[in-house]
Amino acid sequence: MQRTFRHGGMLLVAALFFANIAAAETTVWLVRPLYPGQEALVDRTEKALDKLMPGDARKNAIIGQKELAAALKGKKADSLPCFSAESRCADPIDAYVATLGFDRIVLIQGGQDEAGFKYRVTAYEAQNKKTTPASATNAVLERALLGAVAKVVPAASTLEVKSNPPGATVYIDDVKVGTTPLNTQVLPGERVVRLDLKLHQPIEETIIIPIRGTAAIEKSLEKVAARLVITASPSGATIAIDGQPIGKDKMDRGILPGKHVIRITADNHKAFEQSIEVKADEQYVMDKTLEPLPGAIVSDPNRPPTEKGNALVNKVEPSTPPTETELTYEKKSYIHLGYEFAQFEGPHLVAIRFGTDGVGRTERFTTPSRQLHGVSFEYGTFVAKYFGFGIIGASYLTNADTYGMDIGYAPGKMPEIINGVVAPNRLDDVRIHLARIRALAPHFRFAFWKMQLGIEIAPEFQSGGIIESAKEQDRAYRDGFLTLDFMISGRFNVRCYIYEGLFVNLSANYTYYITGPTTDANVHSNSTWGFNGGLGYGF
Amino acid sequence: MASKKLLTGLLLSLVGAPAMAEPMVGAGVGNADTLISEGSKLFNQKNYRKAADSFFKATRANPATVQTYLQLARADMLAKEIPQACYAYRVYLKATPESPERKKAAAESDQCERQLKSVKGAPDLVQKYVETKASFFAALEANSIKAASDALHTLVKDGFMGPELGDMGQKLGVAAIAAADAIHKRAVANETLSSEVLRSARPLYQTATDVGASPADTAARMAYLDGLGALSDKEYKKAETLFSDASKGDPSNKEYVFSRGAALYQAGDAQGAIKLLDGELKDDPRTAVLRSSMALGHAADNGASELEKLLFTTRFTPEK
Repeated sequence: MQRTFRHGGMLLVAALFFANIAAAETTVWLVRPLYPGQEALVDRTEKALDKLMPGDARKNAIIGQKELAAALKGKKADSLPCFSAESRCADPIDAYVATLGFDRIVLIQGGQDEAGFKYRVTAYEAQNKKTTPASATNAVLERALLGAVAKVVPAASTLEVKSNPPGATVYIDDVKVGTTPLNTQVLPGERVVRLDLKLHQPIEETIIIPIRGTAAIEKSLEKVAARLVITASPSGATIAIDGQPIGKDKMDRGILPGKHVIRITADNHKAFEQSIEVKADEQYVMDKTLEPLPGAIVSDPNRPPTEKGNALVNKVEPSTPPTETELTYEKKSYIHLGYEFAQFEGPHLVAIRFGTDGVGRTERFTTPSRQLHGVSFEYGTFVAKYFGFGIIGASYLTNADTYGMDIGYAPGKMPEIINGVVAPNRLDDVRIHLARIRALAPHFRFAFWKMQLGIEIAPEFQSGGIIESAKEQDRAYRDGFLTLDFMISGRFNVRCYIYEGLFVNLSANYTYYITGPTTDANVHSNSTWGFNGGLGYGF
Repeated sequence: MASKKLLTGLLLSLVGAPAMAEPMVGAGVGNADTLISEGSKLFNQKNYRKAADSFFKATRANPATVQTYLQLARADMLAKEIPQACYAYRVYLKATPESPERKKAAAESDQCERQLKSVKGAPDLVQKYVETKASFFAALEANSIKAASDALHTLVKDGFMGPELGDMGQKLGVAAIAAADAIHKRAVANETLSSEVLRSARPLYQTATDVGASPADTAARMAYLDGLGALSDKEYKKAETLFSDASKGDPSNKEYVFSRGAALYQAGDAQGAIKLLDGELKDDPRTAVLRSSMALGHAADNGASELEKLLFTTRFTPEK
């Protein structure tokens, strides 16, 4: 059965079609490129129009700007519509164009992209003030052009399609046109009509449609127990079921329910084999593209031709879906929120009493436990596969247990006198509030599967560290103590993506005080270690 | 002593009141405040006749200011224009039921009426006023602007006064503008109108102007419609001048600009027309057609190129 719209057949159809529409009418065909830089396609399209038109029709056709100029020679609009008191109007274009004596003007925009040749067409009849738009795409220029033009230039032939049961999808020359029962206008000539209904054996038939005539097809579709539809590429791929070659490129047939083995083979491509189970009253659809063998040069006629011709050199690596690891690396930016825990390593946390003569300050923890906890968030982005920045991060921490602290004074300063008595040199129950902010932290990562390991090193400020007595009655130092330290922190994090961009984040943190009250006065250096856990989203 | 104004009115009423292009009511007559001030000055100079003339004009300029009628009555009284004075007193008393001066004015009016009885041969126009007012409202009801305008002219010429004159003028103005604007709207919508229809708008706008009800762009509209009339009569130069005036009067109306271009084109100045339209109506289809037509007249190649451009920009409609 003939399934392809062969070039010879197309020329016949085109000839019949153009003869039909152009025998008694003067039609102007003007072409412009659809996309910038494709001016060459204008010439190709005009040549295609010239070639597709039979002699008689060609005589009444004006193709392109040059022929239009020749046709306009000697023509002159004696009086312009809208410009006189007797013919006032807002849009004189229809009247003006009508005076030029063309029955129809077909405006065509043609372009070529990944989908093939694309034509947008508007048929304009100035006399009737009528415009009819259409478009078509096809891998072959002539077919795309004819497909678009046929929709807007009247063709008197009609096709009536019926099926039992009704509701079958109707394809004409592989283009879906509707469902049965269907009555539609079609190009005259040889056409391939296919009826397709789920769980029914498809029917394909080639018919001759007369010029200005009517053709009819009425078919009963045979029900099948199950249906198997396989589409294979590259072109010419052999499809075998249970070891028996069935056809090439595409097969669509009824099949007994049960287990079957599908094998698809093609030259220079890896063979594909798969066991399937087809259930009764179900339609099994498979669309498979074989991978080329490494280094093989293959041509694919289904691809639109390029400027260099129809042959394409496929890459050695077949196109495969991204791996989970690649998907993890595709997450460029992230934000996460979580619980944070920290513990002071050293015995000191120096915070200063501001605005007092005594310059009193907290100095030493008097309790063995020095744990902090709180919340944190971070936003960052990766500028490369393995490298990025924690753009901004912040944590709030407060003491997790009861702290006691010694109160000291800066060298040479006297103890503070509060209400006439020397202020206490120890607080047994203090409350600590620490806000830590880090920015532009270099962040290195390594991903495998849905996991990502990262190391982040950040300059970090500890600001707004307020230390005050937790007991109201003991608030000898009512204004509290304030610290502002600069630190450097390191974070080792593990992330696991659990659903699309959502991830669980765990990190171990270490913070070292570089400068600030805690580090001055005979190097009261300190550090914290801790961890962080929470959820985040990568995108 | 018969009033000169009343006599003039009577004479006009006998020969029939023609439609006159002169202000009847409203600001077109003059500035009411200035006229009152002028009248008061003349009154103080004991020049009662001229003072009466000023006050009379003031009642035309602003019929709603009732105090002017009393000033007019007193000036007429002292100018020995007894019938006119009595009429002005009546108008004042009718329009001012609760004025502090009403009692005094009523006494003056009584005195005037007594003197009027001794005047022999004084025409009594009250009945005529009633009839003319009735014909005015009947004409207005029938949307016969011309007849209503004529009736109002008659009333004005007969010396009819009163605040209701302002209302009548306003009603006539609204009706006249509506009728004239309807013609203008049809013309702007590019309806082909006969020169009679086009020219009928000017008297309507003139009537609106005469009763002080004309909008700011009336002159532009009149010039545009007159221009279309001239275009219809193939007086292209005159049409171009009128359209130019219209454009200056209302630069926002681009139909005036196009009409000027059309007049230039019809006058044989296609270059002037395309220069004007390219400058002001570059994207108008009519400009595109003129451009295409001129290119075609110049050379077929240019014509084909412009026609292709025209068609792709205006008639190419991509499928949705």
